[in-house]
Amino acid sequence: MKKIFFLLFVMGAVLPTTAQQNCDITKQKPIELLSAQLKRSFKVLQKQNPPIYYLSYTYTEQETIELSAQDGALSREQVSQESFVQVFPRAGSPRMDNTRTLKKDRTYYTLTNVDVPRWQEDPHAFATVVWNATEQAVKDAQQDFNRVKADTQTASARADNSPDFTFPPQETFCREEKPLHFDVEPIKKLLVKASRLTTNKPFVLESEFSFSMQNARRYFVDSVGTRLKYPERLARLHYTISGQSADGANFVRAGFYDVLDSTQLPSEEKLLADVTQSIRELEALSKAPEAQPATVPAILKNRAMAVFVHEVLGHRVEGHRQKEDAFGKTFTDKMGQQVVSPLLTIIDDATLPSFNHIPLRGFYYYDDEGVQARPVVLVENGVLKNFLMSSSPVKGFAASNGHGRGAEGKRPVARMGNTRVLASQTTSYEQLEQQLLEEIRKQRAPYGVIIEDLSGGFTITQTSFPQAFKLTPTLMYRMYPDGRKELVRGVDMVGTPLVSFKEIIAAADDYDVFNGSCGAESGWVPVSGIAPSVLLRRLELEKTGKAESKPPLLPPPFAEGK
Amino acid sequence: MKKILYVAVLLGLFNTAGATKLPENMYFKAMKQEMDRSLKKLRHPGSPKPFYIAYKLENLHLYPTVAALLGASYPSRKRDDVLSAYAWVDVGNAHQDSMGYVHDAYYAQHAYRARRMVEIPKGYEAIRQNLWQLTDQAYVFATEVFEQKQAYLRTKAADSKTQLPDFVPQKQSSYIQEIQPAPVMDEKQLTQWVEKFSARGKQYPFLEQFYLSITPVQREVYYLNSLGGFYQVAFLSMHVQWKAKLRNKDGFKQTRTKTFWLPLGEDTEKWEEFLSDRTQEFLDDLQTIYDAIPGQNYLGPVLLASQAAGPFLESVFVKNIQNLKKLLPEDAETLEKSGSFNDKLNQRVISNVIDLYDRPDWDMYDGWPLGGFMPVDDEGVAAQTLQLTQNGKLVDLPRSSRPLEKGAHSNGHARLTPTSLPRERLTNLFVEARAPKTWEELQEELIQKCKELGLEYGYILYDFPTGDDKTLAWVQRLYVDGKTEPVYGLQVNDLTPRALRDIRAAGDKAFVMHTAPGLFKEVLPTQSIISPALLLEELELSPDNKKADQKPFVPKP
Repeated sequence: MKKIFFLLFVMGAVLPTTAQQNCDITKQKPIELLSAQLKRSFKVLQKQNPPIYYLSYTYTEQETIELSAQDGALSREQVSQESFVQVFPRAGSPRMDNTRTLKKDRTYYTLTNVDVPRWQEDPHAFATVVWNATEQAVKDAQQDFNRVKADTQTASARADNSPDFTFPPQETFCREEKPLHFDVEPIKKLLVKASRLTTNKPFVLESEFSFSMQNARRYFVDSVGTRLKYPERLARLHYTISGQSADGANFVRAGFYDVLDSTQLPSEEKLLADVTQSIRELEALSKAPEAQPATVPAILKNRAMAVFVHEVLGHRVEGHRQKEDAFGKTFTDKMGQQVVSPLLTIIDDATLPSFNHIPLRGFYYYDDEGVQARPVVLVENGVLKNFLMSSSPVKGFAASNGHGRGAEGKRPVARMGNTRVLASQTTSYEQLEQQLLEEIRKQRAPYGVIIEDLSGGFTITQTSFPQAFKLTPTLMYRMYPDGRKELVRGVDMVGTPLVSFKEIIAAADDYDVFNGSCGAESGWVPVSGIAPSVLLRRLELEKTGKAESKPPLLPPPFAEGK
Repeated sequence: MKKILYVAVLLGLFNTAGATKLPENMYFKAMKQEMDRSLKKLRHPGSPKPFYIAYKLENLHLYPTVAALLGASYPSRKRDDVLSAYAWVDVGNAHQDSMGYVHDAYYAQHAYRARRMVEIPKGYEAIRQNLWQLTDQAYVFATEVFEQKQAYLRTKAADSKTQLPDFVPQKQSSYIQEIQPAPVMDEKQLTQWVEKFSARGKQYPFLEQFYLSITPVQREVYYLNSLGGFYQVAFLSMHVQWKAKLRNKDGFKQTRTKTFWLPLGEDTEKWEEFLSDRTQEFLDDLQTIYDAIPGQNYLGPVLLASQAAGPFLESVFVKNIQNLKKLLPEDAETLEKSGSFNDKLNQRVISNVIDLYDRPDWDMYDGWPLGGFMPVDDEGVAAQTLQLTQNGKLVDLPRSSRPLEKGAHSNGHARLTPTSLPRERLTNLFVEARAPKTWEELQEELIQKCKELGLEYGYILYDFPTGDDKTLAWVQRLYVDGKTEPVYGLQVNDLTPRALRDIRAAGDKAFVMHTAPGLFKEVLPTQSIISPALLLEELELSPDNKKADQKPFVPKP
C-alpha cells in the first residue's frame, strides 16, 4: 500500500509533458528549405561509393545571454543570436557505417556544424551554405567509412556484432513556445551586489556569479521523412566561491537556480542569504580537519545521491557502452538480474519538464536523432530492465528509446536526460539520520559520514582502466556514535558499481533535484537527476587531490588585517 | 665599488619617474595600489624579493561582427569589452635576474611568458583582486626560474669581465593618449553594406561562397611598471574582410581572403565607395584566379606587388631582426625564436635600392591606421625611430633593456606578445625606395630583365605565403610582349634572407600590411609593414604538385 501511495505522490509532484503540437510543420520555411536540399542531395549521394544511406539536418536558431560578475563588477555581458546547421550523413549501410567505433584507430565524434546566414533574407544563400556543408560532411563520412572498413579487416572480432544503425521511425511534430524573456539590468545588479560579498574575505580565492539563458528553436529533417520543430529553453543563475588552504586543499561552495521566467529567480534577499551561508561554509571548511581514508556507514543527501546514480549507474547503462569492447560492460549481461538495492526503481524520463516547480535541464521533446523522448524504466525494484538507447542497436535492443544526444557538432550517442530514483520504502530524513547512528553503533564504526553536497565526479567505463567511480564531496560531516556532527574535508567517494549500489539499505522521502551538465563522447548535454537521501551500509573514502601551488602569499587586497 | 655605482644609477632612474602624473582612472589606480603593496610586502621566505614589476591591461571593445554571405546577413553576436591583464615580476637583481631562462623545454612556449588573465571584471576592486593573484603567480614563477637559472649558470664557465648584466634599467617615459568611449556604430548601415556588396558574388557562378564581414574594434592599453614608466594608448579601426571559396576551371579548390583595417571616424560615404571598389576588385581577381592555368618550374625575376611585398619582408627580414637577445639555455626554443641578424650589424643584408626604417611613433600612414604605434615600449622606454638599413647594410637593431653585445641601451623596442615576455620587436616597418618607380616602370623593368635572360615571361606575385602552405594563390605571368596570363599551383622554393639582396627596384606606392604573432594576426594587429612593390632579381618557383579536388557530388543550388 505504501508503495502505491509513494508512486502516486511522485506522480503528483512531477509535471509530465504531453508534447502537444501547436503549429503546422508544413508551413515552416526552414523545414521547406532543408527538405528541398535533402531531396536534391540524397538521391545523388545514395549512388556514390560508398553510398550515403541516411542523411539528416538539424538547424538551430538561438538567442543566448551570458552575464558574469566578480568582486563587485561585471566581467562578461554577451548577448548573441546564432543560427547554425548540423549535417549528419551515414555512409555504407546500417550493417556497417562510418559511425562505428574503431578498435585500432581513433574514432571521431565530430559532425559538420556551420553558421548559416538568415534564410529570411535570401533562401539561396542559406541553401548554398547547407550544400557546401553537406559536401564536406559527406566526404568526411566516406573517409570515416573507409577507415571503419580497414579497421574491421584487421581488428579482433566484436563481441556484439549488432548493426551500426536502426532507422528511426518517421515522425512529424511542430511545437512553438514563448521564448524566455529576462530583463538583464536587474539581474546584472543582483549579480554585482552578490559578488561584493566575497571581496573582503581572506579565505576566498576566487568567485563568480553568473546568469545564462538559451532560447533555441530546432528544426530537424532526415531522409526517413521526419520533420520536426521544437523549442529548447534553459536559464540558470549560479555562483561558485572557492578557497584554498595552505596545504593545497581546495574548497568550493556553489548555488544553482534553474528557472524559466524571472519570477522564479531568487529574490535579492534569498540570494544574498544563500551566498552568505556559502561563505560561512567555505570559512568553516578552511578550518575543518582533514578526513582520513575509511570505509564507514554513510548518508548520501538527495542531490548527492542523484549525482551518484548518474555517474555510477547511469553511464553504464548507456546503450553503446554495451557493444563496444573497449567498455567494461558492467551491466550488459545482467538484464533481468538484481543490480542495485531492491529498494530502488530508476527511470530516465526526459519528458518531465519540472519537479517540485524546479525546471529540469534534462527535459526535451525529441532527441538529437529525431526520436521522441519517452520514460525508460532502467531498474525496477533493483532489477535491470532496460538500457538507454540511441539509434545504434545492441544485442536484444534493436531500436532507439529517444536517448540519442549530443552537443552541437557532436555525433549523438546514448545519454541520460532526467534520471529519477524512486524508493519503494521511505522514511523521513530525521529518521534516516537515526538509522545511520544505529548502523554506526551496530558496526562499531568510529563514525559515519553525511555527504551533503557533491561538486560532480566521474566514472571510468573503459576496460583499460579500473572501472571505478570517484565523486568529490564539497560538504561532508562526520557523525559520531554520540550523534555529534563535525565538518571535515579532503576525501573523495570511491568504489565500484556492482558493490556500491547494493549497500543502499534505506531511503528518505526528501526528493530533490540536481541540475547539471554532463560531458562524454558526444559533448556536454544538460541533464537532471532526482533522488531521495539514502543510507549506505558502507562507503569507501580516499584522500582527494590537492593543488601543487600554495595559495597566494599576500591576503586579498581588501582583506588585509581581517 | 662597481655595485655601488650601479645602484646609484638605478636610484637616479627611479627618480625620473613621476615627471608626468598617472592618469586618474581605475586601471592605473588598481595597478599602482597593487604594485606598491606587492613591492612592499610580497616575499617568499628564503627567496629574493621582487625588484621589478610591470602590469599591462588591455581592454578590447568588440562591436558585433556584421557579416553576410551572398547577400544574406548572419545573426549578430554582441558582447561586452574583454579586459585582459598581464603581470610580470623580476626577482634577483638587475645583474642577474629571473628572466630570459626557459625553465622547461617541453613547455617552452609557455615557459617564458607573462602571467595572463582574461575577462577581468571592469571595476577597481575586481582589477585589484585579479592583479593580486596574477602578481603572486608571476612572483612564484620568477622565484622558481631564478633558482633554476642560477643553477644552470653555475654549470657554465663564466667570464665576469665580459658578462653582460641581464637587465639595464633605462630612463623611463610616459605617454597618455586621451581615450574616448568607443563610438557608436550604425549597425543597420553596416548590415546593409555587407548584404549589398556580398550579393555581388551571386553574379559569379564559380564562387562557392562569397562572404564579407565588418568588425569595428577599439583596443585600449594601459601599462605601468615599477620604475615609473607608463602609457595609455588606443587603437581604433574597422576590420573588413572578404572571404571566397571557389573551384577553378581545372577543379582546384581555393580559399581567398582580402583584409583591410579602416580608420574609424571617417565619413561613411567614403567607406561605402571603398567597400564597393574593393569588392569589385576582389571579384575581378577571383575571376582571374578561376581562369588560371597550371604553372611550371621557373627561375628568374619576379615582381612582388605591394600587397605581396609586406608578407615577403615579414618572412625574410622581420622574423630575423626580432627577439635578438637569446634565451637560456642555449638550445631553448620558444614560439618567438631568436632572429639571425643579431650578428649582422654593419654587414650587407639587403639591396641598396631601399632603406628600411622602424617608426613606432606613427599611428597613421596615408589615412591608414598603423598597428605598431608604440610611443613608449613595454619596459617604459621611449620608443625611437630606427634606421635599420643604409646602403644595404644593417645599421641598427631593435633593442630592449636586456643588453646585446652590440648595444647595451634600449631604444624602446621591447614588446610584450601573448606568448612571450617583452622582447625586441619591430613596430611599423617602412620601406623607402631610393629611386621609386611607377608600377608601369616596374613591369617594364621586369620585361627587360626577362629579355636579357632570354625568358619568355616573368612573374608578378600578388600575394606571398607566410604560413605552412607555400602555394601562391594569386600569380600572373607577364610575357615579354606585355600580355598577362594568370597561373595557379606554384610555390616558392628555398626562400632565405639572401633574397633581400636580390631586390632590384621598388615602387612609389606603399601598401599597409598588418601582422601580429600567431593566432592574434586577425584580431589584434601589433605590427605594420608599409612597403611598395619590389622587383626581385631572382626567385625560384615550382609546381606544388597538388591534385585537383573531386567535383561536387551535387551541383551548387
